[in-house]
Amino acid sequence: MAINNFKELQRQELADMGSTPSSIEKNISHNMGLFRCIGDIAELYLPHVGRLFIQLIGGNENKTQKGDYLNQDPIN
Amino acid sequence: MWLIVKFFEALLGRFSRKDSHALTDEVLIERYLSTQDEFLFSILYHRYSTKIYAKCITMLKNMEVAQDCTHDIFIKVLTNIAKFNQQSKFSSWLFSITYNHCIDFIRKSKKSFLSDIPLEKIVESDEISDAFLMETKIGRLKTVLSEMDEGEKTLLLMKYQDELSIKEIGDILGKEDSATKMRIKRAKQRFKQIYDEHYKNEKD
Repeated sequence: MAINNFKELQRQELADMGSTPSSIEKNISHNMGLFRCIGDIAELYLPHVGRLFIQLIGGNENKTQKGDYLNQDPIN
Repeated sequence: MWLIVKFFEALLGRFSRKDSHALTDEVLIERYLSTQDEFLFSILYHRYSTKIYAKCITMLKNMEVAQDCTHDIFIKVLTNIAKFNQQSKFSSWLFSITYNHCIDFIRKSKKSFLSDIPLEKIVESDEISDAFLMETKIGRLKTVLSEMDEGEKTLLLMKYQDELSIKEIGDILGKEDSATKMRIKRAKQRFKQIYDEHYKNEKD
């Protein structure tokens, strides 16, 4: 295998430097938690916001559901 | 109900963590995208954070700024990970983001990076072999690189240390392949020039 002292230099520099400060990982983890929280809130409330918006602009949501069909008179 | 679903998702995630450390980057990303398990992303972080941090220190010459940039780079990776199309290695993609971020930072602080010297100014000379650069003794390599222009040094690191392709380097610099090749050639010539100034009369 061909010698590549650029890689060796990198290995030495990394060994001299040690590990990255833990604060970076902590901050990233905090941000991930925040993203997840925002995502969960959006997932939970976005459909309600959509419905609210439809109602606000005067629309009427189709509320027909499976149960409604069951209660309907099959002839009419 | 929603909380119960989330609880079981988390529980299943923990069971599937076994042996995750042995997985390749690409498999880890696939699993992370399907489970959103933080632990899988943390494996990627631990694999690369030291290299990225070291790269930021080398390019930005400031520990605090390098810490902020390392954080920002991983957040960028996190928010764009779904766009990683696996056509290149994850490491190449990550290094591209790192170089782009650092170069943007340097440009924003109004320093020039790889200032656009017209390519005509390149002195025509023999092609310098890759082996010459790669086989340069580490002490000498350190000295020569430390005396090079930051942009040219970064070009050589992209090519020989991170093994990025011409296309990937060109994408980072926003240059065509031919222009990228010329810039690499110029960086190699500069390397040789500094090397000769220091060591031409010395024996190996």
